[in-house]
Order: sequence, then C-alpha cells, then structure tokens
Amino acid sequence: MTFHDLEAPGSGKAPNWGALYRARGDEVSASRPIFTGDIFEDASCIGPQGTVKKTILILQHPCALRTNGVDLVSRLLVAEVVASDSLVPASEWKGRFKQMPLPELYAQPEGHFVAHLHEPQLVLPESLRLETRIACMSQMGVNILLQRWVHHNSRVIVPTFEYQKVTSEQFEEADLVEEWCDELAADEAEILIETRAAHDWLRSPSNIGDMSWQDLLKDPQSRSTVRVALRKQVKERLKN
Amino acid sequence: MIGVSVPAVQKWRKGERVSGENRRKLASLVAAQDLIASQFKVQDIESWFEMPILDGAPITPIDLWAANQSFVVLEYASGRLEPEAALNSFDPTWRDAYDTAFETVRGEDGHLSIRMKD
Repeated sequence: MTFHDLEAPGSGKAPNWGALYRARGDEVSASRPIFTGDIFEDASCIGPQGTVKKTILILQHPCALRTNGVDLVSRLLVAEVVASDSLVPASEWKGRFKQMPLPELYAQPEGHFVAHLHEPQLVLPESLRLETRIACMSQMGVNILLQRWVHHNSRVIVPTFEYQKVTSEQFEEADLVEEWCDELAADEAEILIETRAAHDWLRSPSNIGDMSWQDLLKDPQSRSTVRVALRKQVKERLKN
Repeated sequence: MIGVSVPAVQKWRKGERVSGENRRKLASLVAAQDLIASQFKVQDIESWFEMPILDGAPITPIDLWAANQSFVVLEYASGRLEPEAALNSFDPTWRDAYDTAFETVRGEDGHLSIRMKD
C-alpha cells in the first residue's frame, strides 16, 4: 500500500504555481458560478461585534454551497486570506497544516498569500459581490484545497485524484453555466437570470433515455455530449 | 492540452487573435483528432480523449497529449501500444502513485462520496 502526503502543484523540482488557478484578476469571469476555492476581497465576515471586511477563500465542497443547486446557503464557511512573508516552497506543502498556500495570487512572482485554515469564518452570501472576486481555482487547486482542509480537520490524507472524482461533475457544470452566461448575459442582472435558465436546461430531459442533461454529467463518457448540446441550445437562443 | 489558460481560450472564442505558435498547436491537435477518429474508428473523439486509459489510474489521452507525448497517444489509439505500455511511457510509477485505500461511491443524494475500501 502506498502512503500519500499532502500534495503541491507540479513537482518539487518544477512547481507550477499558476496551475492552482483557473483565473486571476481581470481574467475572472463574472459569469462563473461561485465555487470552492473562489477568493473574494471585502467579504463581510460575521464577528462578535458585527461584520468585518476580509479577503476570504471559500472552503466548502461545491455540493455544500447551495440549497437547491442554484441558491447559496445562508452562511458560507471561508478562510481568511493574508499576505505571506515569503513563498512556501513545494517541499513545505507536506507540512504547514494550518495553511493553504496561495503563491502568486495576483499573478505576480513576488505576491504570495496563504489562507488560514485554523481560523474559519462565516460570511453572508450577499456580501460576495462578483466584482470583488479576484481568483477562481483550477480543478487541481480545488482538489489540493479540499485535501488540506480535510486533513486540517481530521488528520486524514486523501489523495487529490480521489477528490477529482467527487468534484469533476460539479466543476464541469460550473464550466457549462459560465459558458452559457458568457454568451447570453450582458450584465450582472442578466447573469442571475441566465444562471437559472442554464440550470433549468441542465435539469431538462436529454435525448438519452429518461436522463436529464445534468444526469449525463455524472458519467465522464457523456460530458462531451452535454457540452455539444448546450452549445447548440445557446446558438438557438442567440438566433432568436 | 496545448499549454494555454482557460481565459486565453475564452478570449479566442470572443475573437481575440491567436498567436502563430498556438495556432500551430491547435492545428496539430485537430489533425490528430481527425486522424484518430477516421483511421482508428473512434466514434466520439472528445469523449475518447477524456476517458482513463486503464481503470484504476486516472490518466487520460489528454494527460499524455499535454505532456508532449502525442506519439504515444497515436500509438495507443492505433492499438499498437497496449494501455499499460502507454501508461508506463507517461509515468513508470503510475501503479504506486494511484494505489489507494479509498474508493468512491454514489450517495443517497446522487453525488459521489469517498470512503475507505473494505
């Protein structure tokens, strides 16, 4: 039996910090549904004397973020993000159990941050404004974050390729909703409307048995079918 | 697969210019997909690229292509390279790397969960 350690992006000799992120700064699309690993500035964290504005990172698994697949739960569990004095080298990712390193968060070689896993916070979802989202994590970033968060809370190390299996269908769904809204929504108000429309379409019957398009996302073999169908649906909407 | 970010691809879709080098990489990938689909009778080429080469190891033709192992992808697609040999080319330690005490199971809410194997 192989024993696994906490993982870092890339290898020890060739870390790949950029691989943690799907988008940073002005690359972040407002169309993308809020997801595990998203980092927001100016989020209102609930404290003993009211709320305090902090930069935060969303900790919860995608399935735990929403009540019905669309609406966020009433309180989100997050970690505060703070500047780090220095880069956490790849060799130290096996330790530093209380942190999720966020190297080059602002896409600059000298700007390193960490999320404090040992000081979780609660935020109100309405304080997560799309214009203050500064980073979205890649699939790899989400997997590493969940590995570190679960280990911090339970001392159990689960390899990131196992987290890949339990987040990939949700990640794919977020990609598809983002693509739908990118094409069909002109502003934030329309993003809200089109996000619901995308989910309605995903839950509608597919052309395969009695399965919905969302059901088909559960099988990696069927995901390309869903992508093709969604793009066709978006083109139809653009024509009308 | 061709070493560019998701935001870069999104910008291309909106009409931004593709560099010569990236255009070459895209053309190479499209040509490979066409070859595999037509010569080796792969019906759903997108899906084929996303499927693990062997059960128990989450390595797909996408991973091989992204690691500049396009020749291995084509040899595997043609049947001239067995799945295990293809994985050995990519990572000789794959058996150990993906040896795990965990398994995934679909829960009562319809989503996958991780649990210890028996």
